[in-house]
Amino acid sequence: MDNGSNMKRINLSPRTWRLGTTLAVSVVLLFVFLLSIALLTYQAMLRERRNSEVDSAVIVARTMAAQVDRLLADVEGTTFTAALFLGGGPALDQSHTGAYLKALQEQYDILRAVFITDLAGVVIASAEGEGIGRSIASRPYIIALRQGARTVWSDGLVGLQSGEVTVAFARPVNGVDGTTRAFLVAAFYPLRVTARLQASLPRDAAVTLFDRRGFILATTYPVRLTPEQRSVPPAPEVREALEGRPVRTIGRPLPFHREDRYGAVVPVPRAHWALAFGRPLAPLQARLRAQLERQMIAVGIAVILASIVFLIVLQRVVRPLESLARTSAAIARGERPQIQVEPGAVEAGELAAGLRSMVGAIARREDELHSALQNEQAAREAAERAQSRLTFLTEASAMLATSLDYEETLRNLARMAVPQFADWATVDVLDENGRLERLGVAHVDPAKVELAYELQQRFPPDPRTSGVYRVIRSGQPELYPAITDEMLRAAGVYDDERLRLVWELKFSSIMLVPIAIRGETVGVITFVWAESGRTYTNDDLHLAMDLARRAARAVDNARLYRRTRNTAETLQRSLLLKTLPELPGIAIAARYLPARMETEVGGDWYDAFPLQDGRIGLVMGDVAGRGVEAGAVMGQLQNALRAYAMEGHEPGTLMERLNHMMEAHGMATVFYLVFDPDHWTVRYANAGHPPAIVCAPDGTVEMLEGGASLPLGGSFGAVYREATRAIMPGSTIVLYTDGLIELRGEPIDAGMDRLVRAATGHAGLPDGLLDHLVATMLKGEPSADDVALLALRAEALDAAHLHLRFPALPSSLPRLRHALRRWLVQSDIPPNEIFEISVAVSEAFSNAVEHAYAAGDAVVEINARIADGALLIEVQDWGKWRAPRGAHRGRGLGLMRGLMDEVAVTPGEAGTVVRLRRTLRREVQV
Amino acid sequence: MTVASVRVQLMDGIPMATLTGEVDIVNAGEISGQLFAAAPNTATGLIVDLSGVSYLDSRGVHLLFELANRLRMRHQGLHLVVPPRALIRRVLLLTHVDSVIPLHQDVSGAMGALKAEE
Repeated sequence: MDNGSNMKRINLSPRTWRLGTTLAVSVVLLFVFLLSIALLTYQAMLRERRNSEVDSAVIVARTMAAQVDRLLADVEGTTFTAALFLGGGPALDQSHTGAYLKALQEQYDILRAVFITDLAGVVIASAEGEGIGRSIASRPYIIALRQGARTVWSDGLVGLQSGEVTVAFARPVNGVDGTTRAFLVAAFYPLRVTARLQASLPRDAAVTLFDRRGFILATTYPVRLTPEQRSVPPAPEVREALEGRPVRTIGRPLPFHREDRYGAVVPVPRAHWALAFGRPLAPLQARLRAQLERQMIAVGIAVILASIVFLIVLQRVVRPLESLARTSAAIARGERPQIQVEPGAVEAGELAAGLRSMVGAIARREDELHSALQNEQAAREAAERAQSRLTFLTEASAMLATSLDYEETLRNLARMAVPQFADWATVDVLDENGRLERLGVAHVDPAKVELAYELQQRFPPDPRTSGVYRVIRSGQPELYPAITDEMLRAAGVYDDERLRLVWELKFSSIMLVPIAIRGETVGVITFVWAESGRTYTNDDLHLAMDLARRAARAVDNARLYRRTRNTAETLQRSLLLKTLPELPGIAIAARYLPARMETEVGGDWYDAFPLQDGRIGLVMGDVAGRGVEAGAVMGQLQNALRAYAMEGHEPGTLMERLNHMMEAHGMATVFYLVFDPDHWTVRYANAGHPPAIVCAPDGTVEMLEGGASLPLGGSFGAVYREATRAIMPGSTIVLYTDGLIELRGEPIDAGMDRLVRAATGHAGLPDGLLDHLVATMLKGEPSADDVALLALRAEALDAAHLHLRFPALPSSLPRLRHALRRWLVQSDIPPNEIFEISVAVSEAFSNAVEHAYAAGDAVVEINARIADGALLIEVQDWGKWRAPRGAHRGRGLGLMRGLMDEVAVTPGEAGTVVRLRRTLRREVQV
Repeated sequence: MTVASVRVQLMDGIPMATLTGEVDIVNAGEISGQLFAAAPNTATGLIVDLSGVSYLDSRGVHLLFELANRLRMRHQGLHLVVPPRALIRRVLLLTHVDSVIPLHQDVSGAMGALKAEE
């Protein structure tokens, strides 16, 4: 089953909007959209309405301009007819024309006045009869007439008394002959014109008339205008209309407008006037705004309805969907969520029910699969456990059988048990003193091992209650499949601190099995299941007991072996670890290399000792067999050899005696060599041993092949030959056992050839030579057999000078005498003189030892010289001189004086110097 | 290591100890005991043959004086055999051993002197 793809399908990625969000955004967008449409519609309508209103305003303005024009035309027509009539009539004075004029004026109610002037501009008749004789010659229209104008429209004039604006129309009155007799003038109030227009207009509409200068002739706008206000320069729209083009207006084109208006200014061509028509803008906008508000309310209602739909969808579809989506995700993760029945759409309920039955089905399948898997796993684990138990038993048995170090073995056993057979394994063994010793604690986690040790250190097991002690006493195994608090308390875990520690170890199942040797329990192996929570069964107990029986055998064997081996080792150590003699001009070194695999000590041994005549004995031996018996024979042989050598037996006879002694004790090979430093000879006998080699100072190597006979113990009454050979000063004699040359099964001759080759050219000091031989012959690997080597190198002493340095101890005396003797012999001093000199020097040395020191590490130095036929010897100590006490010490000084020519004792702060001098009897070649 | 050995034999009922090897401070005490033990109470004296001694110093001389004193307490005489050409002769003479303990050139001389004392 691919979980990943499932998750992908169920989990909405963060970039994808959830349904709720989408719906919410849609509602908001809808709201904004509707709002925008409403506002745009409002703007468009406002513009359109305004345009149409303005258009209609232009029409109205044109209609009214036409009415004004007709009025003016009437005035022109009427005066034309009147002028014709008057021109053909009688005299043009008041009496003749006054009534006619009055009838004319009354015919047109708008006319304010009708009068006639003479050609000079003096009023000669009028409708009302007033103003006769008054001259109006200065008025522009009279001037224009006198200059020949046919008709003249005057500009607006403000009446002096009334303040009313008046306009006059004038034309000449021509006689029948066509001569101008007078001028006819008709004046009227423009206000009357506009008032008449006003009657046909809406209440808020206003009409204004301008004369050709832009002067305001009249307006229906409810305002009283001063002459100054009337004659302000006209607005551009008015000027344009005066030039003959109708103009639409929006705003405040007239100075007295107090609010925005819309309307038009149109020309009135007959008099070159302009007419402005306007209505206030506010009512129009108010109407439109009301319409907009209604639209907005509609939008709001639509949005509210959408929101309600959104909430319903959210509540009844989206929420249940989301919950189900989460549930599906949980199912995909492998959980088994409770599916709540959320109130919602029927479809969601059905989906939930479907999901629920799906979860149930999945859970059932999973359970089936899981239990099948568990069964399979359990079976496999059981098989594995059985296998690992078997493996563990096999491995452990193999290990127990092979090693003789039982502590290490038991520790390993504990380690091997973890983790296949236990989380914990401990091994406790009674030592030789009957104390319980914890040999091993093993756990997979080293920190836990620390904890276990802490537990044991802080709370050592109580012998009365501890399970280990109980098993030791009873010898019966114990099995606790499950551990409870009560058990722990019964086992002595009574305080909380300890209980806590134990719980930290999480013991779950414990098994204790005794290690019994011949019916006696010597130890206990404890197996514990802890963290893994597993349980021990009877099968496990049987296996553990089997293991414990094998461990017991291993312990028994190892202990027995160890006792034996300890004895053998002690024996061999006592035979090998001895101080080699220190002699002037002679260096001795030895090596002992135990065999690679052997657990028992071998029978190799070596020895080196000075003989009383100044010679040095060297021994290399190899007793057949190993272990205690071989060690015992080795010890006997070594002691006997030394004793025979001290008695002065030469190598051949010595070997015969040893052969007698060996009769009933098996076999041994021995190489015995006596080195005579006085005469530079070696004398040796070889009882079946590999021959020693001599490395000459020039690097050549020789084998000491003579003096060879049968091994000791091989043949009773055998004759042992000996051989003598001279060696050069500076030579090194090397004795060894066959372990050095018997390698890789090659013939012994080949091994010896290799040894000779290895030694050739290496005539160094014994220590270096032996290291070189070991490295070359064994190639850094432990040999199959024990290997022992012994080397001695002797240098010629300095004939002119001898320097000796010995510990201030009585035991130094023989070595002093031998060294001195060797030096004197080398200088051809006769034996009796050598004896006397030796006695004198010994007395001086004894004095130094006896009186000078308390501390054992102090030294005495002897310097001897031969010069001018005399021997000079100084014995120097660092003690305080005391007069000799006792008869024999006095005799010592006396002897010195008697045996030497001169004796001088010089005591000092630092020490005492005894100087001895003796003239030699014969010439000495230095 | 100083090596000496004592071999005791009876010659005509007279005990004779043959001392060989070297005698010095290391082994003087042991040699002294062995020599004194060589003379039973019943014996008239003790002959010590020093012919085989290769080294002897003042400690050895002291040993001889001491041995002579202990034997004298038991009224037993001590006779030494020292050949004329023995190395140690000079030491014995220098320490005046001969003034207290009779020296003889050979065993028969010592035997004769001891028998004469009886």
